[in-house]
Amino acid sequence: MSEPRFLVVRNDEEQYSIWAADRELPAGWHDAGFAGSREECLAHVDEVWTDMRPRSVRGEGTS
Amino acid sequence: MSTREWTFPASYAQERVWLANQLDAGSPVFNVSIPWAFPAGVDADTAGDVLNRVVARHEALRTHLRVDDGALVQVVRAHEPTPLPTVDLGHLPADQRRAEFARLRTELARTPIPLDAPPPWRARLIRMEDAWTLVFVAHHAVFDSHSAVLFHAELAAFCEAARTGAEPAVPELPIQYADFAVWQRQQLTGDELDRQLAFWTGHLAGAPPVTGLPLDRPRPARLGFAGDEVRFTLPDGLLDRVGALAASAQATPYMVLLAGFAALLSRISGDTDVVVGVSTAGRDNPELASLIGMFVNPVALRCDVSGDPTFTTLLHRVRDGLLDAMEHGQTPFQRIVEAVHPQRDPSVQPIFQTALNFIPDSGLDPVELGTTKDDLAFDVTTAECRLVYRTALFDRATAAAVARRYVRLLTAAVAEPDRAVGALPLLTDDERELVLAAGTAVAPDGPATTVVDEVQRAAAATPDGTALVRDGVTLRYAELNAAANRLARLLVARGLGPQTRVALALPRSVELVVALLAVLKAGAAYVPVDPAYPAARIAYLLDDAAPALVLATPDTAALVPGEPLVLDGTVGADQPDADLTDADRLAPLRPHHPAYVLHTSGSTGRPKGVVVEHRAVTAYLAWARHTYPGLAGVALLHSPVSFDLTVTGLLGTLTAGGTVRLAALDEPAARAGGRPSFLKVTPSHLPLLDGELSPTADLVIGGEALTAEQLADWRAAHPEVAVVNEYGPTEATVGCVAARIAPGEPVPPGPVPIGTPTWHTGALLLDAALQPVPPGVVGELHVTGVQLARGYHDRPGLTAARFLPCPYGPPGTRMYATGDLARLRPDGSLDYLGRRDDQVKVRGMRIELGEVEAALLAHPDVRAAAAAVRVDNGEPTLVGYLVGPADADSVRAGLARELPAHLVPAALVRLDALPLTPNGKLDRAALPAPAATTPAKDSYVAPRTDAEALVADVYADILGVEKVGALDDFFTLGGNSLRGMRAMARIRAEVDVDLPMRALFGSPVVADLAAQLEQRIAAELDGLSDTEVAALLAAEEDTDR
Repeated sequence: MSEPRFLVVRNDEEQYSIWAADRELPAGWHDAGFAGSREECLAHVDEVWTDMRPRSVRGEGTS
Repeated sequence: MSTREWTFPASYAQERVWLANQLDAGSPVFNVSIPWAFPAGVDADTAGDVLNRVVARHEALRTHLRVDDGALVQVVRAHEPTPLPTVDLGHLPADQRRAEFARLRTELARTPIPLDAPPPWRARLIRMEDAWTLVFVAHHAVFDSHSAVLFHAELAAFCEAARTGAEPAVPELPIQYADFAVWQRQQLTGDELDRQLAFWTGHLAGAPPVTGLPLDRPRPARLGFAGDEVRFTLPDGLLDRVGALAASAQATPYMVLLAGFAALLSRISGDTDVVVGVSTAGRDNPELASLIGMFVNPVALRCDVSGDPTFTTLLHRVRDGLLDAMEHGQTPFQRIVEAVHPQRDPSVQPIFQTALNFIPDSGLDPVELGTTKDDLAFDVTTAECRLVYRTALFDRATAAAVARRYVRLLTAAVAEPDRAVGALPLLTDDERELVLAAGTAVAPDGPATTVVDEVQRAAAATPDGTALVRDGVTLRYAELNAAANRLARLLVARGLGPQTRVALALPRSVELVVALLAVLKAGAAYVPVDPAYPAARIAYLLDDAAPALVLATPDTAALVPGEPLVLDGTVGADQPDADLTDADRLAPLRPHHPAYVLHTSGSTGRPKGVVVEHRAVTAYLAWARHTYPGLAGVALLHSPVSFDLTVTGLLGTLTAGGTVRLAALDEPAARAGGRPSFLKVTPSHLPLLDGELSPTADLVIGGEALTAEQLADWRAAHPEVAVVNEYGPTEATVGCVAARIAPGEPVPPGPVPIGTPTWHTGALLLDAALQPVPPGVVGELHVTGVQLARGYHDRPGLTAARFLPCPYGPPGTRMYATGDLARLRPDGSLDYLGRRDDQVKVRGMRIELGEVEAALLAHPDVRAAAAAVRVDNGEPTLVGYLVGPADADSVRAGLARELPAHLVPAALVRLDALPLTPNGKLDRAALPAPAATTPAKDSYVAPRTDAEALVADVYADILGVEKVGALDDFFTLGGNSLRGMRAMARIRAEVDVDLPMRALFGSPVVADLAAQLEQRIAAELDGLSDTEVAALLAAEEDTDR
């Protein structure tokens, strides 16, 4: 068996997660345009999710 | 006048059935019931004559078994016509007649048939309305399911012959069953047997020795045959569709049924390597086709369900596996057992524990015997099907659910065979809804608030109430609130506000509480850094959290790098006392802003900071204030604020208007002022709670798994206090599932359930494919709702890995994969079953450490206990740790009585106290290794009594071992069932005491078996003194030499 494939996914708060590529994506989540092994996807998230604050509270704080 | 008889070797099948029957010779588990209605017009004499003719034809029906010289033989007796007992029910009304018939039939079917005396069957002739019905029950050692077909055919043939006077149409019998047994013994020897055994040992290498099916009860130390059954029918047309799929896949319907069974077992147990028992007819030679007798041989079918195959793929695997197994189906199963599992574990049936039979039409009467051979066994027929289950392990409701799920899964699988096995439905729509409902928070969402709002509300309501007591210093709410406001204003002035972090390098002190509130009031999140930590750990935490500011006291300032703000009593003293408004802050504080960042270690990797928002904390606190009335009184706060368990006693109390008493459990200040009303501890703290420390209203236990045994002493001493078992990872904010145990409510032994989700939480139990698992089935707990943390500070990948899209909640929401295993109980509460990563196995058997710990604690002289699997010498070993004066031997004896062999620790270590982490959890890493060797186990202890000497001599002789000591174990020395049979026969011959085989299985150690022997002798020679018994034993020994 080949390694199961995952997608990097994102919700409207721009929170990232991963999801098995062959499973239906839950409502409110979108394909973020990266697919690979679980580890590859998590490494990609480490690169792209640079602001971990939910989108709705960004710009409100002092940093 | 004695009847002539001949002896022959027993067949392998007879030997296997006989051995199994020895475990409980008084059980009807091997009874086979074969009723038959005689045609109208056949009278009782003719009916009796017809049966006698069948018995005369088949030696198997005139055979019993006996041990001669340590070998099992079959004894065939010459035929003697036997009269048939009759019962006339003809006079009864129809319904009464049917009821009485059923009663008689069941009674006969449930009457054990001893194998050591003829005949191996029982029969009654019962007169029904206008004809006679034969109720016939045979022992499985002489009768298999094909025999039933033959039996009916011959009864019919002889009836017909009696009616017409013609020759009966029955086949010639060129050989008899005993001839087959002799032939089989000659065939399966030497190289041929070795070759076959090599196939099976290879085939079963690495197979799980026991099914991972979730059980309703722990395995008992010894299995019996007690069983029950649920009956069900397959939906119309399902078997046709099974047949159609089989035909299209070059398989048989049985293979489809088996593939469905393997899929079911895999889905319920989580195992991808599933071993199922199937039967071979064992009648490959044409001469055997017409013989009544026992030819069936079980074989183990190993099913590979790995890689989430489609059902079609699984069917092909099952087909190939079954053909392969059938090709080697003549290998005597008992020999395979001896070769694969020489070490007997009497709590587990060897090699397979589940079976599936397809019995399209055998004529067997499925009388409920109240017995079972397997843990779970399906009998699928074209009419009524049944699932027979072991009542020691399963509840009726569980078995019924298993049968329902089998039908549902099979129906879906044959409809869509290209679907992945992992995606086949197990749940009914109702069940699915029920399971998913628990995943949705039920509390109406009020407007989200901040911790700051809640504390200020309490301070305004009770300004003169005592908020905080530390070392005799008392702060009223107004004072505490004002002090926090002053410091908060200073923090704002230093540039701190929402979405920044402030580290608290503060000891347990008034300053700690003031600073913590001040950080929150400024809008920032606090990051506790325990000054008692090693310097490297403090440096790591500060580096990881990257706080904008560190707060310290003059004592702790030197412990932190950089320039901490030192709280020396004057800092911020000049600031105004009033509550801050958003206008005072650098940015408005909102419920979505982080309140704290707590570092959790987890079992692997570096500590990570869990970022928890205000709305999560206030959601939890609302539930906690409602659930714990004691928070409005005095809460004893002893645990560090770096531990999220502490949030309840600190922020719960300060938002309820109660008093926080800040003191370690061993400080005198903890006791000053009388008993607290609220206390939250870990289970490891329980032994420390004496009368003065114990709360009057609520004892909350969290942080670790709790057992009834840990709780028993405390509850006995404080019957008036409610106990709440609170479960909650830091990632889901303090507590998200909880069970309240009311005063006086009994707690059954073993692990205490964690209860039901709190107000704002959903709890989902999902399998590896994130599908909901059925009630009762173990799944990974996934938490949903507002209490979820934002994620791990500065760890995007880790956050993405653990906070997953939730397919069962509102769009765009997440669920936290806890890594904890749990299952839904029939009462709707959850059982916690440990960490997913901690699923430890010893010799392939899954170890539930909680069960071991509970059994240790059940000993009256064990105060605290722990169990661990250690790999000190390469081989995983189960070790038990105990605190208390208990005698190790008596503990070990108690464990052996209560637990299956694989759960009895190989070593016991006595400790003065269990090692605890700073948070009060058991520090598993600090548990010591057991002493290198356990001397008593390795060293030779000479037999100490005559009975021990006798048993030791017999062992030595049978096993070919030079020296056997009093503490040696028959099976460890290389014994197996067959050798055991010889050993018991030898002992019987020496002392003429009838010791059953199960005595050896239960007490394989010389000293234990000798003790049983002495008891038997004492019982049989009632009236003789021990000395006289000993003298007799000695005399027996002397004559032997």
